[in-house]
Amino acid sequence: MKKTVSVNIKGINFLIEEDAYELLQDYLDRLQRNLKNEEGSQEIFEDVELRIAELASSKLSDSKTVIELDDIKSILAALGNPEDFIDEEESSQFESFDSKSSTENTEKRLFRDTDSAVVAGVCAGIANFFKIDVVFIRALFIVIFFFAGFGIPVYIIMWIIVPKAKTTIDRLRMKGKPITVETMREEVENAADRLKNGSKKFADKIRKGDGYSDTVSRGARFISVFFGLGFVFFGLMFLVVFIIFGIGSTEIVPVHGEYGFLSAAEFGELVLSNSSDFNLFWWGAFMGTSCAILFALLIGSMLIFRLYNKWAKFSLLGLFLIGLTGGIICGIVGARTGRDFFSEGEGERIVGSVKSMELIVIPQLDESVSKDGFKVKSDNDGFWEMNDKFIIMDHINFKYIRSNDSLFHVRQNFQARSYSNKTALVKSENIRHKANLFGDTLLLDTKFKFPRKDKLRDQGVEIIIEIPENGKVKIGNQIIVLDKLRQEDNDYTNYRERGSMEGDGEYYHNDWE
Amino acid sequence: MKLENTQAQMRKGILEFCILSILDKKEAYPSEIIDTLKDAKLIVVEGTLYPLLTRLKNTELLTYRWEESSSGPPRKYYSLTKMGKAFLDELTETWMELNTAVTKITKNNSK
Repeated sequence: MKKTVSVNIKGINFLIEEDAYELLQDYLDRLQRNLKNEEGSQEIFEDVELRIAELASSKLSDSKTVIELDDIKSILAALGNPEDFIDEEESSQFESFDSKSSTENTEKRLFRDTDSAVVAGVCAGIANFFKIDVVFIRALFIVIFFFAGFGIPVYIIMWIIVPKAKTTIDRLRMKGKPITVETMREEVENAADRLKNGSKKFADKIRKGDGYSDTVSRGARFISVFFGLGFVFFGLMFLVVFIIFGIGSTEIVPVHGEYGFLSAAEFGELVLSNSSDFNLFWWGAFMGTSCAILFALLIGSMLIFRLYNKWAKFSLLGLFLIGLTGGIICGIVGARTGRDFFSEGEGERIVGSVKSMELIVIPQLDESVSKDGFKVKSDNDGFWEMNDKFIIMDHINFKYIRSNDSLFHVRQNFQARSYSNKTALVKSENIRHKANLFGDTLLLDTKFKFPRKDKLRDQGVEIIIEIPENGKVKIGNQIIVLDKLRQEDNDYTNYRERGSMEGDGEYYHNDWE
Repeated sequence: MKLENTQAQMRKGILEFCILSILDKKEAYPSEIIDTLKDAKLIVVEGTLYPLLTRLKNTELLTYRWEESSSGPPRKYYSLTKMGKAFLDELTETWMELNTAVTKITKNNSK
C-alpha cells in the first residue's frame, strides 16, 4: 500500500504517490538552484513545469489515475539532469551568434556595469544605456548629490533595483540598440506603417498573434518612455523647488524691516505653536516631499529602463509609506496649529472722550516702533515688519457708531486667536498700539506690535469712534459723517461704518458693511 | 578529447538553426519541437531546449502565444519574429557554405 498526495502542476491536479512526489520536488528544487543565475529563469522553470504536467497527463488513462514513481522517473529521465540544462559552452556559442548579427536589433536593458564601476556601476550602466560617456552621468549624480545629498538615496535605490550584468548576454543587451529620439521615431513610424496595412492582413496578424503584439508592445514602449521622461523631469523640477524654497534659507516671504525676507522655515516658526511642533512639521514635510520626489524619479526610471522587478516595487512601496508618514505628521501638526485659531479673544481700552464738533485723526508714522528713529516707508509690499522680539503690523481698522450722548468716545479693540478664550485674551492683551487723545486731536500709530512668541494668531487692532449728532471725523482730507438717511433705520443705534488705515497713514473708507 | 564531447558540440552548434528552421515551417509548441529534434537525434534530454527557447524569445527572434489544450496544460505556441526570420536566412546561408566546405574537404580527404 502506498500513500498518495494531490498536487497541482500549472493548474492541473494530479494524484501522485508520495515517493514519486518527493522525487519530483527534489528535482524541481535542483532545477531552481541551477537556473538561479540564468536570465528568464522563472520562465524556463515554468516551461519545464508545463512540460512535466503535459507528460504526466499523458501517463494517465481511464484505468490509471495515479502518477507512480516509475512515471516520474521516466519523465525526469526525458527531461535530463537540471545540472545539464544550462551549458556554458552552449551559451557562449549562442552569444557569438547574437553579437554577430542581432546586437543592433536587440532592445537594450539597463544593467549595472560592474566592470567599469566606481561604486556599483550604476552610472556606467546608464551611460551604456544611452550610449554616452560615463563622465556626464557621474557629473549629473555629483550635481544631484549637492542638492542636499539627494544623489545618495537616488544612487542607493538604483543600486538595489538595477540588476548586475552577469553574463555575456547581459553585457550585449546592455550595449544594444540605444533608445534615442531617432530610434524612438523609427519605432513609431514602423508601428504606424504596420497599422496602415490592410485591415484583412492586420486581422490575420492578430489571429496569428504575430506582428500585432510587436506593434502594440513597441507603441506601449514609446508611451512608457515618454511618461517616464515626464516623471523624471517633474521629479527634478520639484527637487529644485524643494531645495530652493524648502531646505535652503532662501527667503520667500516678504517682510519689512531689518529681517527683509523670511525663509519658509522662519515663516513656519512664526506660525507653529512651539519648537517641538516646528521640528515635527519640518521633518514631516522633509520626509513627505523628499519621498514624493524620489517616488517620481523612481517611477520615471522604471518606465524608461523597464525595471519592473520586485526590488523596484518594494522601493516604491517603501517610499510611499515613508512619504505618507511624513504627510500624516504634517497633518497632525497642522491640525494642532489650526486648533490654536479656534477661539477669538478681544480686549478693549478706552482712549478717551471729547466734546467737540469735529475729531481730527492724525496718523503717527511708526517712529515709535522702528529702531533708532529709522522710519520705514511702507509701500505695502511686505506683509509685516519684524525684529528680535516683536512682530509689527499695519492695517488698523476703524469702526464708527452713533454716540449715545453729545461726546466723541474713542476706544481701542485688540483681537487675537488661540485655542481657548483665556489664552486668546492674553494674546490680545499683549498687543501694543498707541492712541492718544489731545483735545479734539487723536494721535494714532499706523502700526501695532505684539511679541514674537505669541506667533501669528490673526492679531488685529480696531479703533472704535462713537460720533455724536452732527459730529464729523476728519482723517487726512476725508471727512466722515454718519449717513443721515440711515438714521431712519429702526435699528439705527447699531448703525456703523468702517474704514482702515495702512502703514503709510493712508486712510480708506469703506461702504456700509 | 572525448568523442562524445565533440559530437555534442557539433550538435549544439546547429541546435538554434534547427529550432528556427522547424518554426519557419509552422508554429509549434515545445513538445512538437522536442519530438522533431529527438527524431533527428539532435537532443538527448529535453531540458536543454527550454533555456534555449527562452533566450531566443528574449532576444526577440521568437515570439509565442498561448493556446488551451484539451488533453493537458495550456501550450505555448512559438513562431518566428521578423527578426528571427532574417536571422534564420543568414544562418541558412552560413549553413550552405559550411555544408559545401565540409563536403569538399571530406571528399578530398577520402580520395
